[in-house]
Amino acid sequence: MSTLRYAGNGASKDFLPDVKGMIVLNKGTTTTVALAKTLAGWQTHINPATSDAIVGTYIDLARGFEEKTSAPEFTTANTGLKEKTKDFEPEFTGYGFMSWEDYRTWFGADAKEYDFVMVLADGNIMAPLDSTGKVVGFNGRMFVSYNFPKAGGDGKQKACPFDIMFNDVEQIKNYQIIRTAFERRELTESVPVGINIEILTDYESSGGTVVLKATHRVSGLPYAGLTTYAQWQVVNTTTDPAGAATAISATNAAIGVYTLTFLNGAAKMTGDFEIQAETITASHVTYLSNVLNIPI
Amino acid sequence: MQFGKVDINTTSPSVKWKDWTWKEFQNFYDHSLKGNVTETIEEIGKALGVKVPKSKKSSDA
Repeated sequence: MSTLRYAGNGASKDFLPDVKGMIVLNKGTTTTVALAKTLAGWQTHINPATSDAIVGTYIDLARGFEEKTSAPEFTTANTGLKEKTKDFEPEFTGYGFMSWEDYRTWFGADAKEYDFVMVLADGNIMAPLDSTGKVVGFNGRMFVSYNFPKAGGDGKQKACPFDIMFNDVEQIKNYQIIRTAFERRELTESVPVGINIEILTDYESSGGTVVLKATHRVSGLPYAGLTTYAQWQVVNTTTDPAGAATAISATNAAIGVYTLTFLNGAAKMTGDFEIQAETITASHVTYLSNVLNIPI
Repeated sequence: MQFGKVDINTTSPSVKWKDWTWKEFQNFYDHSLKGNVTETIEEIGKALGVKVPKSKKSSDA
């Protein structure tokens, strides 16, 4: 925290704008202040040229933001002296402006550690700087909720809660407001469009083929844009040292159906593996699917 | 590499076509390509760098 010197009062008495969104970043992701002011700077994290390079995303919290930080602890000594003896790490619940299917893609993030850059209503960002002067997020943990659909009312609006607990009081003491050249809407539009992929026909053990269907998330409209092998990534394997989309038949792409062959070299996959599909346009990931486990 | 509406991986390090046996390629052809391409198995094998048996080079699939 900087040295206290009397710094005057401005003529305006405006409040700090509300938090309306957050950029979720892989822990340790840094951005120069110059790039943090630009949409292009954040796009290098949110929708770069390949899905492998994605290290973060933006969550719109238009459905609500509730601060949950515990009040500071004040203790009275037996002499009668009362003073602050503890500050608690900030925490809040943000309600995602997203579909339940989008929310389900976050289930794997439960209890994991991320860095969070808070986005204010005017598009400016609230974040700490690291020791080298680069913008980092507030380090903290994310928790998601698994539950039945809410019956209605504000329960519906709170159906996609993200409970965020920061790890370090010092970071919030030292936060900066960085004036940006972009609007929140542009961050929202930078996030790749969500596609759902699902299995139509199970992985075929003698030939290594699996029939998949790709649809626009929630609407269910077929997505016909995944016709090349390079768009299908094997993101994880369980028993095989490697794996790849060896071939794809796009004969039925118009209805979102693709027949893919996944092999490890010439051999069939021997254990479950996970895949993800992507579309790249003008050096940005523009469509991105859920991660789908292919059971063997 | 595109054959009809089938796109075959020629860039992944884990797909080394030159290391495939003809039997392995035949199995791949039967499950992933047959009926979806107009080229013969030998033409596709040759284009990908698979070792095509000499007796097969001039025949159709």
